[in-house]
Amino acid sequence: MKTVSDVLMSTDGSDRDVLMTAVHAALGHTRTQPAPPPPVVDDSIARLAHANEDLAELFIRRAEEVGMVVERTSWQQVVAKIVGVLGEHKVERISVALTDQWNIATQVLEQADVAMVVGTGGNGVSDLDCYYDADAGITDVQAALAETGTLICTSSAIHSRAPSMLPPLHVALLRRSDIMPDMIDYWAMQKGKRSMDLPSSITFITGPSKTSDIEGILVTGVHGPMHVHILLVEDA
Amino acid sequence: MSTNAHATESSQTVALTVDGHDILFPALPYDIHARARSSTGDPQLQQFVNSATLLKDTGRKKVCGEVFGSNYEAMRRLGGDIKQHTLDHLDFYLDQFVERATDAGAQVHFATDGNRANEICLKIARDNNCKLCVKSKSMVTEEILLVPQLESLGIETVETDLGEFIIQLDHDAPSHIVQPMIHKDRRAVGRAFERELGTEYCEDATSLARVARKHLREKFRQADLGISGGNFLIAESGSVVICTNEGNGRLCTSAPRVHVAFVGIEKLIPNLEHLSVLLKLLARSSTAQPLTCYTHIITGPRRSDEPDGPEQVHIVLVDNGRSEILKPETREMLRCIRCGACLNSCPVYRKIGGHAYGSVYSGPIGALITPMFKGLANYPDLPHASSLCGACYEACPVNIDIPKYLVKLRVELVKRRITKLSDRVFFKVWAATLRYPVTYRLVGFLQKLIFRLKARTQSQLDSGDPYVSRGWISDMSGPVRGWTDERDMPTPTARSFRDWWRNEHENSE
Amino acid sequence: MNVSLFVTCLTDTFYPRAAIATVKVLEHLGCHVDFPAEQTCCGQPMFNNGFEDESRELARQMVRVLEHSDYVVTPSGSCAAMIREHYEELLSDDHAYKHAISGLVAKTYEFVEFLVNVLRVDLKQMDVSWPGKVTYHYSCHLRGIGVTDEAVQLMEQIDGLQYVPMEKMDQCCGFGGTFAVKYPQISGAIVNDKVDCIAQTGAQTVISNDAGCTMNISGACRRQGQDAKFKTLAEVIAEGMGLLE
Repeated sequence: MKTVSDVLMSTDGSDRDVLMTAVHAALGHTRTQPAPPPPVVDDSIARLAHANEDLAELFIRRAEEVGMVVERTSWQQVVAKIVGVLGEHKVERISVALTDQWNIATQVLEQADVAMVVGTGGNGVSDLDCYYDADAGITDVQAALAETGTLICTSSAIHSRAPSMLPPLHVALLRRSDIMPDMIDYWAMQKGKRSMDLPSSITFITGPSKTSDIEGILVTGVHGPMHVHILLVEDA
Repeated sequence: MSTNAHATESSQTVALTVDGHDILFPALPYDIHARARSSTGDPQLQQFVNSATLLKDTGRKKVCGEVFGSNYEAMRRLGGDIKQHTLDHLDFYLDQFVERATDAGAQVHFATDGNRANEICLKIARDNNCKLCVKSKSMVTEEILLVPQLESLGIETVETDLGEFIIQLDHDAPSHIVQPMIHKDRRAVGRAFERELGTEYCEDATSLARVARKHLREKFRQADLGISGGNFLIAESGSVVICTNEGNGRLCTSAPRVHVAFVGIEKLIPNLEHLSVLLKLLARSSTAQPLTCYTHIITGPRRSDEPDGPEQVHIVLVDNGRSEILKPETREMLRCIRCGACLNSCPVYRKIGGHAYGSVYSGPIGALITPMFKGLANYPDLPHASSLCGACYEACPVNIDIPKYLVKLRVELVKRRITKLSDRVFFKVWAATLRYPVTYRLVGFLQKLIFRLKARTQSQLDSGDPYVSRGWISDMSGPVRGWTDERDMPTPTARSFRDWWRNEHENSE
Repeated sequence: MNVSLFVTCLTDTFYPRAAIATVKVLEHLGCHVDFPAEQTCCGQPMFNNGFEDESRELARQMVRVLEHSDYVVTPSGSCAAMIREHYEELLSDDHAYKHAISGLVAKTYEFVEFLVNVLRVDLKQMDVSWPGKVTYHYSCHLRGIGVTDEAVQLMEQIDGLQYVPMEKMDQCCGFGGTFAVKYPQISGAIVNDKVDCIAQTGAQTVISNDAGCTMNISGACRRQGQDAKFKTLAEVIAEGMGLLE
């Protein structure tokens, strides 16, 4: 029997060959053959939400069905709304992931009695470390799907993964114009991008964190947020 | 059709104490009867599994009926076509996936079997000096027994899916693809937490979940290795897609600096747009949700300008018997997206639960792939422990004709003479008597004679209209005893339809 | 309309009244019914248990026996399903039978399906009266051949018949042929579930259009001390038409 160190010494140089040979054999090929075009995603079968629907209204309905709170507001009101939600949940520390043209973070810090945690990073410890201490994460979203009431958060230079993932409360700023009808539309937008140009992380959020593992009883807030509060901002 | 003739030794050479191990890796060949008997006699299991599966199955029908309407069948067919196409050209899509994933900075590894997959993981862990691993749910890792291997290297490995976490704490084994502790009650959870975590006993589900959240948060914080499975692999973009409800999938793949994803080669789909079809089907089929709470699409490690995310993303493409199943006669089985809909719809699963299948994969799909993975001679009961009712076929979002393949496995069992000699003789003789009307009538006559005589000796033979009244037998002996163990057996009537046709119908014309 | 009856081995031996009713109703509706006496078994037990060659032989036989029929009607759903779902694949390599097979598949019907989809009966026009409370077991093989609520449609056309749907109506009864004998505990647990569902309807009569299901469920009812009568819809219609007592 191999020892653990024997095992760790072996290389995987020919692993690909062995595996692909087995795959080729099963397919009746001697080497990789080009594939014909894959099945088309037939809109008439797969599309569940259409552009001519009231997307905001549909989104709100679906988001509420999965247990998220949605409030309609304007850019003028949004800071006050955020402050209100933070107060309601007795938040002390926030984390943010915002493309912040309107200085929302600064205004929130001025108006609410909260401190902001900011990621450290690059020191050998998980970059997320300090984010664990935040009670709320305020993020914008890159897109939303009316079909399922889904928020889409993607990683970027200014978007840490943490604020929508770690704290018990996630406050999401959603622009009305970012609501797409159907997932089909979202993937159509990504078509043609090279893999290295996609974000390392795209997350579809459809509700607060949930489980029904214990006797089928629904519990909210297992590892992810317990509350998702969406502020749907009508564009100016 | 070829299946492995012998049990794979690989999973049993590692002498480690893995609790829950015996349940999913029993002595072979596996005989289902003992566990089936104990499941059907277990009131708690009957209550939990019965109601949970019925609820999910009813939910699936309702939601899919409402959402897809008359397109439900077409949608399942489309899902099936996408998976079938990918399997039919798996070499092309594997090559494309490797190229695109590597472009995004991921490292792709090939594991021909479980041993190799574990070796690859151990090397990554060792190279990166990992001490603490957080793990989200992955059936492949259960298949290859990864966790004990990591633990043998001194790496603390924590399951973070709540159900799997509890199972791990309680030295138990998962019993359902999607709801691993469907068989367990909250009191057992409370006791396990009290015993292993030192918390005060509670049995309220929310409090228990909070205990787990707090405990596991510390693990996420400290972990330097994250292990996940993968619901889908996208060839076009080199992405891994992970669907969870709890959020542990995101945490395991974002917090630690090294992420290793274990994914079966059959999980590939061609393009991002195909994800629309499969995601629309997956959660609705599985738990009647529109989507799981989190769908995480990972394309490579953190980009150089991103503030967080893993520094390394490793994708281990696992074969471990899948390339055998890829052969044309059985390829359709690999379409499976592990939604659990077939388990929820199955009248057999509903009554015996997952452990009775004696394997990592239970339910109707388990009855197909377990013999394929582990050898038909090792699991001769699984293809037969089904009434072929077809509920699974109706439920499957990728349109796998499970009953057809169960019958194909039964044909193999006969061809390879694994089926008992007495059964083979019986069926061949019976078939021979059915070839000729004369022998058919003779056998019918003898059957009638024997059954009615038996009923008479049990004083259960009625008289009256010869085409209606019959006898009943409460106590058969011999190979058909199983029938009367559970219900009475009606006897033939005194006269058959043929008698009526000949004597009364023809005469009246 | 010329109809050949495919009686099925179980119905012939155990439930002849169901077949008698089938014949009488079809004749009453204007069909000429014949009974090709050379018929024996469709081969389903052999096929389901993995005895492909043996079931193939019986399939060929069935095709020959029914070759000259215009329509084939059977009172038992699973046998219709055997022909419609499996005969083509079973005999796919048999060129001599190719034409006859597809012909047989196209002209084979389960009785209820035949009445609704081919004869397009409206029992309301025919003074069919059957007062009583019934429930209905939807047997699994009807699923495979696309039969859904035809039986319910017909029941609603019968005067005085009170139909109470049972819970989990489309859950298997646990028969599955040799499954019931080889895995008795599992089969027993499943059939007892069905017995409970029947009891909850309060109906005294259970309509079941598959002989295997009926043997299984009626045997379980009896073992549980439940006093339900089992009839096929053919018998109920025949009784309602005054063709049978």
